Amino acid sequence: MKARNTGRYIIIVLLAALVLCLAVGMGSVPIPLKDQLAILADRIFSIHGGTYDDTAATILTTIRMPRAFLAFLVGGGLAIAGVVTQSILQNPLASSYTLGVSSGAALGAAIMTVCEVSIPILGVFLLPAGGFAGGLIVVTLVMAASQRIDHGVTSHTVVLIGMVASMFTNAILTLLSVIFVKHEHHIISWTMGSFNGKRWYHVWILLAADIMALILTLARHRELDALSFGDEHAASLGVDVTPVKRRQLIYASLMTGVSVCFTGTIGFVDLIAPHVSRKLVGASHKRMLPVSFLLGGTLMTAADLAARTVLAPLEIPVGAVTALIGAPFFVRLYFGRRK
Amino acid sequence: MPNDSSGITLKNVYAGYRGADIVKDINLSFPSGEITVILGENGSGKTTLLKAMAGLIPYRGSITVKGRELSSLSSKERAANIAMLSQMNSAYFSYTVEETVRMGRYRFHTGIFSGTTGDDRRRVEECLKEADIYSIRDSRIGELSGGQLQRVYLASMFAQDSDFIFLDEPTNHLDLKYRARLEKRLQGSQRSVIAVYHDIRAALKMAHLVVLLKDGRVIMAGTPSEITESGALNEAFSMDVSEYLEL
Repeated sequence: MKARNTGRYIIIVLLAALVLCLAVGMGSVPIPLKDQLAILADRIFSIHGGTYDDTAATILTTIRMPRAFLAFLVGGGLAIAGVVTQSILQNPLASSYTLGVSSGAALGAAIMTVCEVSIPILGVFLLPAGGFAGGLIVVTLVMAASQRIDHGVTSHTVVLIGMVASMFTNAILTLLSVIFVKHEHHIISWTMGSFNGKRWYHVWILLAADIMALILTLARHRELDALSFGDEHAASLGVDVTPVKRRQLIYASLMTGVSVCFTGTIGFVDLIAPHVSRKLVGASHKRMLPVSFLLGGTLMTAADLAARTVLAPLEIPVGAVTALIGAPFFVRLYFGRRK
Repeated sequence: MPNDSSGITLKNVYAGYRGADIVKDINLSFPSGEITVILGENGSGKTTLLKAMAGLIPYRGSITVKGRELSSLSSKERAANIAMLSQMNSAYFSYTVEETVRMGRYRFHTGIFSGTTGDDRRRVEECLKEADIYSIRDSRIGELSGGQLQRVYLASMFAQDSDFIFLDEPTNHLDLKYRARLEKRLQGSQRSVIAVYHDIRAALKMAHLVVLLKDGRVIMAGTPSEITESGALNEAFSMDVSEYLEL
């Protein structure tokens, strides 16, 4: 089994690298792999070996690379949030998107924008903070409402209430876009998701958040495993259930908030990546968390690549691409479970 | 019933769900090293009592485990004292049999990055073999039959190596062979066992002490012969149990 898993890890890493290369290479100005390598060798390591076009170098380093890496990190971060949410709720249908965390995060970020809050130097963290707070408030309300309506907190109740919360927060977002016309474009883009025009500083913030989330969740892989069997089972094994669940839900909201505030709500990656990872390497979080991160990143980068190339020069919102794949996947998962 | 400082003692215990008491005014002492079986009809509060004693639901009154109040124990201290097999363990995600059994060793991990030790591996292997599931250790639990899954959860519980073993309907889904094997294993164990059983005949045969519950209250606690001679079984089950079981 170990050898089989090692083979799968290698394939997943190679697939991620391939998709990243395609994402930075494809577009209105194609940049072949050898040019990519020459540009990176020259710009990063000052090794002047190959020849390349300066325009291509600018496109690669200032537009495509930050965009592709951001897509990868957002996908990976959302996948980690999805794993955590599914495990602590013992619900493979739960995700930041289906629980309304993503919409809450978008609303939090939108409120920050329309209120035009600004803080010198730390201003760059205002949107992530708003996204985190919005996501956390919505998931807390969803869980409280689910517990009140259905004491067993069954999968169907949580998902249905999450979807209601998502629709409600989206309605508020629409309302904000009508009232604050100046910010209309910005707010609408949050409801559809886009990686257009992202800079390196977005990448660095997401990278820090992803590394932190991976470490904090991997450090608790045994607790997440135990919680996957239910709160009572975990408690009887010796897990301090309530604080562990609370902390993990905060990490998931943080990941979703930071991701969504820069790119908008992009659904289903956080549902698909954990599910496929469990199929590939099993349910153990020690193996599954890194694989989910890589698969979520790969899927999001591929979706963004499709979004900007399939109908070029038109660009489709990346959220529409993930929904086209994710919605049938969700239906299959939902009815597959009911059977 | 004598108070045993090495066992579990309940004084005026009330427990239930959402503010409603299911078990009321329970005063019991479970001696260490013995098998106690809790009997009663459906809804009499057997599972609620077991969960309260395992610290899984809140209670009022006092529950002491080896002289210490249960609510004052940390999660890992509680797990070192009590391992519990619940009635309805669900497999939401497909772990392997071995991974599931290894979870029973959780309480032995001290640091967040501490790995699986040689002791853990040895103990997990023993438990897998005892439960006759060693040959399917790499199978995913979602693919198992109800009986196989029950044996996996039993093995995980035994791997926890706790002083007290709480079992809620442990023979559910088990066929006769594994039922007999489990009962023999419990009788040969040095550990204290508190079990909720539906099979009255098996319970009376195996137990050192029997507790009868009705409507959340203890109607009698005593040895199997005291219980059968008293006729309290008829009251507990609202029928003529002696005639039905030909006791």
